Amino acid sequence: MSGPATANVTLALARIAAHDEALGAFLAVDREGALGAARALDAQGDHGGPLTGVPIAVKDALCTRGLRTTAGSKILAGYVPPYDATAVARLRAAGAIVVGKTNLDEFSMGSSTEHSAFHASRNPWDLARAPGGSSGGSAVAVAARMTPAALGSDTGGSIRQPASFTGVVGIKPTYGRVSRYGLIAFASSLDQVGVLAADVATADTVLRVICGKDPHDATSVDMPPIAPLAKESDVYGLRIGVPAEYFAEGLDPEVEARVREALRALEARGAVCVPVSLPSTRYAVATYYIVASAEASSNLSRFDGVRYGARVAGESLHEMYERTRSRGFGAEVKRRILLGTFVLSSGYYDAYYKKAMGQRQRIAQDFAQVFREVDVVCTPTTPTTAFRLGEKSDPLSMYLADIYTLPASLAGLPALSVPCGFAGALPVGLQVIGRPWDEATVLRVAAATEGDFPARGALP
Amino acid sequence: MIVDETLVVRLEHLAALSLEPEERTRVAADLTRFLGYVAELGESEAAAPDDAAAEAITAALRPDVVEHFAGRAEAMAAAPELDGTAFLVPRFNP
Repeated sequence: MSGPATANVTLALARIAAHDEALGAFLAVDREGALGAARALDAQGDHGGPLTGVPIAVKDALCTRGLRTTAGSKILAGYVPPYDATAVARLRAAGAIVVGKTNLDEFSMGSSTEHSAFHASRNPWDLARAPGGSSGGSAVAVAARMTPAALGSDTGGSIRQPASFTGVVGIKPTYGRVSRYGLIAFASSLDQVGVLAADVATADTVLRVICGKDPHDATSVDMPPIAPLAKESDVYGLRIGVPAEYFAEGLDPEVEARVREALRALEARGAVCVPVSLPSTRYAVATYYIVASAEASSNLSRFDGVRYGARVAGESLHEMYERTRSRGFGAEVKRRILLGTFVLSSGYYDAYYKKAMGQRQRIAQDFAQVFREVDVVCTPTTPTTAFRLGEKSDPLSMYLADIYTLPASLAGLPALSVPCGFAGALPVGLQVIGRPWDEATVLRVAAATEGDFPARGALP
Repeated sequence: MIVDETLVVRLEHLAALSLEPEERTRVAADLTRFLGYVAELGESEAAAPDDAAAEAITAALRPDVVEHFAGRAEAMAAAPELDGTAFLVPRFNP
């Protein structure tokens, strides 16, 4: 039987077939499964779910029942989960149809999707450039309109940075807003599932479907639902903090110009921009890479060739562990495991990990003080537009490019990137950071900006 | 701080990894560079965190306190799902 869900899925699969060879957004496309689910929905008639018949792509860090899930790593090649991540299960219950799994930096460790064990993804606006990462495949799928929305995960900017690089909307909710059950863990105190979408209204709809307390994730929190987005986004009287530390050395002048234009447009709608200071921002890169690597070294110890994934035989159990992990993990993952092992090891813990935890507290305190005076904080999402594939071969230079997205992650705050124009031919993103649990105001500001900067043309 | 190859070998052992010689050289250089960056930042001059101010933002994080359960019933009360006598966990062979 053919109907609207089948038509939607057929269109999505056609766009994937036409463009994904060049873009590399997907690691797996579930053509038969998606068409089967669509036909079943159409046969059922009125499903009534808010996402009935909507094709959705899912980052390959989220478990999908019966559909391979690799986290972009050879060590999980061939792994087929027996269960859905909670966010995926909630999407399916709302009528959405998963069309495939999207590419990512291995175990979500990276900012370009070049660290996938399988292939790099390409930016639809310029195929020689990176789409950002680690949720780069999800961003590309949405930017090229293969699907109207996709799930991603954000540990230090992995939704917002690729959203900015590809000209789509990307939201990381407050830590605890969305269950992490079924998300393959990278850094558990930072990881959060979120949404990439073609527009703010779609991001809002998908986020409200996936959020809420889940008994399978003790860090998920039972909070009142996010208020629905109004048709006309009113920002009159809203106080917007503009931190000096985000408009400093290293910010591309054209990116700064677009972001300041977006702020002026918000002021024209009646918002009030207020200069603020977040002085601990300078510590964010060091703090994040110490804390996240420490947690990764612990989380990834489970990949030992025993319970799931690939195994390389050895003469002893320890040799089997070493061979499996050494061949299964890529260079960036090994680098971060070793850094994490170092900062947690005897003799270095106090000097690095403990100090980083103190800096994390100071970063959170900076935001708490600023949010006494303002309703949201607005910044550039990234210091530059999308960089060229292979341009950031030095790990530290790649890490430093995350400077604007890391602080909100360390503080557990909701943060979103919304397109605010172009620098040359490449999209620029405005980052909107909100108070804990105030995704509604973040989305309201984003909707206003979206109205001021409508997408250029239909597609990249 | 200089990370030499001896230290990297120790870290490999702790992390159940075994790097090729050229990988080890590269990792030693990368870790040295990152730790050099951390050292450049120096000590923070910020005052000690204001716990009351930070509380609102870190409310989603659980306190880092070791809890002592009085007994089986109290421990079971924290389980997401029970069958009456034991924890319920997802099936692995559906």
